[in-house]
Amino acid sequence: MSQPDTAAGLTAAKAGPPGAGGGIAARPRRPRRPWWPWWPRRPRRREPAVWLVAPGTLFFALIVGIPLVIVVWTSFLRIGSGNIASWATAPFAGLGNYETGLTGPNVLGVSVLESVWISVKFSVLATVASTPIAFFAALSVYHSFRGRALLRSVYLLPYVIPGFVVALLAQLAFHDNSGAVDRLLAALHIAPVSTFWLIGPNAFWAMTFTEVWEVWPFIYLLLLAGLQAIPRDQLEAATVDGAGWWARLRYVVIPQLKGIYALAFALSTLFHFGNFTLPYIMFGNTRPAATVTLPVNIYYIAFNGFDFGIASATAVFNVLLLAVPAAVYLWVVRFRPARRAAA
Amino acid sequence: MRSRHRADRLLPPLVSRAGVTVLLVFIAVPVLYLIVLALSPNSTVALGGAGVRHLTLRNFADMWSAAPIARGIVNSVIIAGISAALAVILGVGAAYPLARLSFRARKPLLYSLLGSQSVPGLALLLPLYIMLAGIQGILGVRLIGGFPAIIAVYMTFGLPLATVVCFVYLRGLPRDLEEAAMVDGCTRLGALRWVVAPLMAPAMVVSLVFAFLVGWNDVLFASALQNQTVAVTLEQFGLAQAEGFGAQPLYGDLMAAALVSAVPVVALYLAFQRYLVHGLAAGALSGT
Repeated sequence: MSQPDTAAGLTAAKAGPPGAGGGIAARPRRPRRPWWPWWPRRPRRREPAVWLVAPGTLFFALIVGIPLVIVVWTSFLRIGSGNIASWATAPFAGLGNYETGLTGPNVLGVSVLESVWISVKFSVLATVASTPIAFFAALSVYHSFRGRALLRSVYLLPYVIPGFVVALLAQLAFHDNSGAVDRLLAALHIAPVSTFWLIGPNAFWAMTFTEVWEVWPFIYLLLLAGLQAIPRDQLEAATVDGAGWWARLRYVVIPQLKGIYALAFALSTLFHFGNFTLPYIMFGNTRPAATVTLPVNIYYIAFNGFDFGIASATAVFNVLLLAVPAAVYLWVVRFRPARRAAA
Repeated sequence: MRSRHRADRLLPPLVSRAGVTVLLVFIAVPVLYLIVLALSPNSTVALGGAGVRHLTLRNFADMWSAAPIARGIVNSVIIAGISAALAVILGVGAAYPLARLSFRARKPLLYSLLGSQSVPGLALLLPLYIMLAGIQGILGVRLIGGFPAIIAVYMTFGLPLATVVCFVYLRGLPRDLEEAAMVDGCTRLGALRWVVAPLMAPAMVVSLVFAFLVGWNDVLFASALQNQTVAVTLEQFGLAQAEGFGAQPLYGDLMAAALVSAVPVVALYLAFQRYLVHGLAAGALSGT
């Protein structure tokens, strides 16, 4: 549901002094309670502005909270195309949906467990491959020079082009025979002009390459922010002490980027894992088995196989699978500066 | 002064220059390919003969009749626009108490805002779909395919970021201003309306842009709940060309339409990238 840039704002939430936002500056002192116990207690006066949070919370509960409860419930029900509208009265299936859902063959002929493996490979590989590009890019626009702002904008370009546009372009670029990739590789005598990037096992690599091209700037953004947060005195002190660029990088920069890189790694992997747009559109008419990521598989179980019970079970499985990295992320981003930084 | 200048450099100049050149090629080639395809006749693109010799603007005229692209764009502007405006209004409302007041639900709310980011979209789409289907069956109104449901969904998905952006911005604003207003007899709500809200304009604009992009870029929810947005229109146009059984695929038109739907988004992003980077920098300051 989220765009990678969401994380940008969320990461920003960590800024600010500890304990800011808690407590009202000057709350009127409450009158001393009388010694006789039956005196009706004055209700505590609530600041009416607290209720401003209510409309947002209400929609959040309606569109995120309640569906999350319902999906757990329907994952235990037998819901087919016939009873989608009356799912509340669907027969109980116990854990059967989980059993058939995870291991059984389905609409696309790829079991959910295979899809999990494809998704894990895809998201981790994409993150790992993005790292050196992002790291270099961040280092290359750190020092000031003429045209730096422009270069920073250009670096963002792949990331800000809508995902569906990139996917459509990738489909044409990897098109057999006529696509730019096949023609380029053939011209360089690296591969035959008909390599078939959109079907068979090659499709996985075409998809991963496209994902790297599209999303590496996300890690770059986080690393650049981390770089800018390093106190400049440290770099200057190191330089005065005779440290060259490598020593500065190795002993000043990299140790201080570790933390934010861990965050970038987790978030980026999470977002690759959830990317539905790229595999869904890029392989719209071929749908090779190697590119059936978990979101695509669940989508097909639900909207082509119309088996909402099994689809719900696999979606719940997906939530559980991501709960561990999500918990780590929440623990890292705790709305206050990390203790280590304060100490 | 000289060492200060030198200390900034984290790469030797030659490595930096060579690497940047490679990186620029890596970024630019696909983008230029998109532009060239959009400017090439359909027949040329189908044969893979994208070249710069026979460029034409015809695709930009023909694409409107090749697929309901205009309808998609209008729908997306309405859907993403309304949902973004609502997300910002609710987001400012939610951010103020979260940043300034203390109440019991504060921490749980902040955590669930953040935690919601890792909920996979399908775990929400499936139950939403059957909820809407169920309500449709009971009330006899059309929700799937209509605007209100998808607007509510995108608004809610834009809400966490809008809230957090405003929350962070508010914490950077001094309390003295609103407290002065309250001492002068303004209520807290009045202070929010007349003192805080005008100061928050930049945060609101940024939230608006990002919330708009949520709706504009989404494919997953649109393809199930309202399949006439610009993203799904293009997806289906592309699918029809790929499965076009012998007919000449209109890939030139497709790429022209893709370019048209990308340019405003890219412009919006680049116009506000400063805030994107600033927000990140503020976050990183606390030391992860």
